[in-house]
Amino acid sequence: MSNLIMALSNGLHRTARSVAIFAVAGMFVTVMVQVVARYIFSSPPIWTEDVARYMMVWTGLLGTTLSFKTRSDAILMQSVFPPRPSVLGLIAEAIRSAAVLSFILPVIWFSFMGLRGGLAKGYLGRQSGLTADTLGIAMIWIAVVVPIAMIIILIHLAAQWAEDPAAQRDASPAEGGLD
Amino acid sequence: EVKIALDSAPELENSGTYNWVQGFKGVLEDAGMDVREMPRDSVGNEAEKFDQLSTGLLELSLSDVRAIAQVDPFIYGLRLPYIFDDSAHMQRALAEGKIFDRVNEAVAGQDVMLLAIVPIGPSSGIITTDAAVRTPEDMADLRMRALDDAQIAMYKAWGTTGTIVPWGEVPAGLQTGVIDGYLNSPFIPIAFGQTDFVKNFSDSRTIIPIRAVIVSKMWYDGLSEDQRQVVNDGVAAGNAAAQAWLDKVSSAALTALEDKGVTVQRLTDEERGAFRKLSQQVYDSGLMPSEDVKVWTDLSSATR
Amino acid sequence: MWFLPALFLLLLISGTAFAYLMGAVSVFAFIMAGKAQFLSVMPQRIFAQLDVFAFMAMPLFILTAEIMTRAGVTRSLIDFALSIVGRMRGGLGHVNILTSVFFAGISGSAIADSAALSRTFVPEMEARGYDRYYAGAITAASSMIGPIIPPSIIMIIYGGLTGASVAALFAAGVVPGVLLAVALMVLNAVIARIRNHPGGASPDLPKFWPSLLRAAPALLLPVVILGSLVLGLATPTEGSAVAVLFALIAGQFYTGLNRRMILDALEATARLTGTIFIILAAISILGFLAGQLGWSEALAGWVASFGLTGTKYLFFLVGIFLIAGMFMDTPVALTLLIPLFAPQAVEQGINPTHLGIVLCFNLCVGLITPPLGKCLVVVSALTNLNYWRLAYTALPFVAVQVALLFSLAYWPELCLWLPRLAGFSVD
Ligand code: NA
Ligand code: NA
Repeated sequence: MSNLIMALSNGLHRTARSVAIFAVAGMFVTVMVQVVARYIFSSPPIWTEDVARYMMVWTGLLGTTLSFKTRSDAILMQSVFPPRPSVLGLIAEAIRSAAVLSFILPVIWFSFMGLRGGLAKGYLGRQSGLTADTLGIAMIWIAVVVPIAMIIILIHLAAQWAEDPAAQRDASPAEGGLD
Repeated sequence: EVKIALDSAPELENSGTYNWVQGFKGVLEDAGMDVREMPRDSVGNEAEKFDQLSTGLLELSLSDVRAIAQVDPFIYGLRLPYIFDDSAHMQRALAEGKIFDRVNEAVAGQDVMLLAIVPIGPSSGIITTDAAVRTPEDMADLRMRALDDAQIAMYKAWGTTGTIVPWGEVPAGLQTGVIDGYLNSPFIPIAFGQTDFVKNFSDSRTIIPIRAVIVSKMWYDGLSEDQRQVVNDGVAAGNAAAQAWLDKVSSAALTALEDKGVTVQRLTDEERGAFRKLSQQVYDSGLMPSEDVKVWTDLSSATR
Repeated sequence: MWFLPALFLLLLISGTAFAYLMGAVSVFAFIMAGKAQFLSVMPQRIFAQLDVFAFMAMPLFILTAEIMTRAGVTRSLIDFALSIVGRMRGGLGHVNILTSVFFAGISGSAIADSAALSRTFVPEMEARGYDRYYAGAITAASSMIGPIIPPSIIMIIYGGLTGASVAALFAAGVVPGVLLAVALMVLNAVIARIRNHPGGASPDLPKFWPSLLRAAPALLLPVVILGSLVLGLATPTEGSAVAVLFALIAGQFYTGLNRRMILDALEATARLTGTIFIILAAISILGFLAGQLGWSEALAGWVASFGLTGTKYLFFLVGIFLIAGMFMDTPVALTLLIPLFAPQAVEQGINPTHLGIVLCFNLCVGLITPPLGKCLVVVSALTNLNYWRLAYTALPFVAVQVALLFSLAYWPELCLWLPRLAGFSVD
C-alpha cells in the first residue's frame, strides 16, 4: 500500500513537473507572439493575453505541488520539536499535516460540491456554464487546475507519511527566492 | 440582509451606479429590509462577484456586462456602436423588447438574474493625447487602445488602428505614445488623473457606458410576493435616480474637462453621422450572429 | 478569542509552511465567525486572486535570472567589477557591492544574489585578508540591491496587489538602488580605513576593456528591460519575455546552454512561482473573511483615530513594516499587510509608487536583521558562518539601510523623479 502511494506520488510529481515546464515555456512563447504581432505587424491577436495569463495560473498551481513535494515552501520558523521517529516529532508532523488538510480539503470539496445542488452546483459545475471570452472554451478546462493541484498535494502528503522517515530530507534553505 | 457589491467609490457626484444603489436601497429600507453596501473589491473581482451570486452568498452586484456575456453573448448588442441615441432610448428598448426576460432565461442555469442596466456616465467619446478629432479622417494616423475585438473592428471601420492594451497600462501607453487615445466616458480622464497628458475629447457619443445589476436567483425566488414588489419598485427608483443624475452631469462633464485644460470638440449631429455610418460595418462583421444583430437594430428603430 | 492565536502559535512552532499555516487559520476563522458556508468560495477565490495580469511578469523575470546564472554570467560580472573598483582600499568589499548592482539588473531577488555570490566572495575575501564575518555581512547586505534595482519580484507582487503600475515602480527603484549601493560603499570605505583592509593593487586584476566586453550581454539586459519600459515600447510582461529571449541568446555567449540547463531553469521557475502563489492563495481566503466582517473599515477607523496624515502616516507604516520584516519573508509580509494598509495610505495622500518603493525597501531591510534575516540564513548556510555572529557583524549595514529608508520616505522625489522624467503619471 505505502509503495503504491509513493509510486503514485512520484509519478504525479514527474507529470506535474513536465506540465509546469510546458506551461512556463508556453507563457514565454505566447507573450513573444504578442510582442512580435504588436511591434512587427502592429496587430496583436486578442487571445495572447488570456492564454498567457491562464498558463501562468497553471504554472503557479502546479509549481505549488512541486514546492510541496520538494519541501521548499516558505516557513516562518523551523519546528522546535525533534524530528521523527521521536514521539514529539510525530506529533509535530501530524500537526503540520492537519494544517495542510484543513486548507486543501475544503478547496477540493467545494470544487466538486455546491452548498446546495451537489455536483452540478460545485465550482467546476458552475464554471462549465461560463465561456472564456477570447478563447471560446468553457472556463472549467482552465479552472480545473485548482482541484488538480490540491489533490496532487493530498497524495504527496500521504506519501510523506508512507515514506521511511530516515529517507526524508530536511527542508533545505531555499537558494532561489523571491524576496 | 441584502448585500450589495459596489463597483465604484461611494460618491454621488461621480458615480451613476452609486446613484442607482441609493435609489434602490431607499425603497428597500423604507419597507424594512436590511441592506448592506459592500465596498468595491471587498468581495472580490468580477468573476468572484458573479460566482457568489450564483451560489447565493451575495444578493446583488453591480457587474461588468461581460459577466452576463460569459453565459450568453447576446447582451453584447448593447455595446454595438451607435445602437442607441442615449440612455433613455436604451431603457425604452430594453423594456419594450422584453430583453430582461430573454436574458434571464439564458442565465437561469447559473442561478442569477439581470434586473437592470445602469449608465455609469455620459456617452463615450474619443479621448486623445494630441489629435483633435472631428471626422474619422482625423484619426487615420492614430493608434487607439481597444478593449476587445469588437472595438478593433470598429476602429478598422473608421479607418484607424486599434490595439489591445489592458486598462492598467493605458496611462503609461498614452504618455509614451504606444497609443494615441481611447474611447470612454468624459468622466474618465478626470477620475483617473490623466488630464496632464490627455488634451482632447471629441463628443462622438459612440457607446453608452453601462453596468449590469445582477442578483442571486436563489435570493430573488425566496422573496415573498410583497418583498418582490418592493424590490421591483426599488429597481424603478434606482433607474430613475441614475437617469436624473445622468441628465445633471452630461453637459457638466464636458465643462469640467475644459476647466482641466482639455479641448472639447462638440460634434454636430451631422459630424456624428459620419462615425455612425462607418460603424455600420461592425454590425455585419460576424462578431455577433446576424439574427442577434437584427433583434437589436429592429428594437432600436422601433423605440427611437 | 484565544483559540485562533493559540492555533497560530502551535502551527508556527511545529514548523508548518506559512501558506498552510495561514490557510488553516483562515478556515478556522471562518468557522469561528459562523461563516462556514462562505468556505465554498475558496476554489473561485484562489483562481481569481492568481489570475492577475500584473503577476505575469513574475515567472518570466524569475526565468531570466535562472537562465543567466546557469549560463555562468556571474563570474563575468565579478571580473568587470574587479576591473573597476578592485584596486581601491577595501577593494573586494566594493567589488562585492558593485557586482550586486550588476546582478540586480538580471535578477529580481536578494536571495538569488546571496546564493549566487556568497560562495565566491566569502572565501575569496577571506583569502585576501578580510574577516570572514565581514565578508559574509557585506555579501548579505549588498544583496538587498537586487530587488530594489529593476527587475524586482516583490515590486511585481506589490503592483498586482494594489494595481499600481509595475513599469512606474521599476523606474522608481533605480535611484534608491543606486543610492543604496553608494551608501554601502561609503560605509565599506570607512570600515576599510579603520580596519586597514587590503587594497587590490595586485597585477592579476582583470583588464577593464576585455572584462567589459565579456560582461556586456549581462549589463545590456537591464538596459534593454528598463529602456523598453521607460520608453513605453513594452509592458512589463512583454519586457520580461524579451528578457528571457535575451538571456537565451546571451547564454550562448558564456558557457553555453544545453537542454538540461533550460529544463532545470523552467522547473525552478515553476517551483518558485508556486511557493508565492500558494501564499497568495491562502492569504486571499483570510482577505475575503476580512471583507465580510468589515475588518478593513475597522482598521481604517483605528488608524484614523491617531490622526496621522501624509509623511507622518508613512513613518508610522515604516515602523510597522520594519518590525514585520524582522519576522516574515518579504512576499509574505507584502501579501498580508499591503491590502490592509495601502488603501488608507493612498487616501492619506501618499503616492502609490512612492509607497511601493518605500515599503519594498522597508521589508528588504528585514532580510539582514535577526531573528529571521533570510539573506543571513542563506549566507551562513552556504559558507558555514555562525548565524548570530553574522547578524551582529551586519548591524552597521542595517543602520545605513534604515537611514536611507527614512530619507526615501521623507523625500518622495528620490523615488519619483525618474518615473516622472520617463513620463509616468506619478502626482
Ligand atoms: Na533586480
Ligand atoms: Na554582493
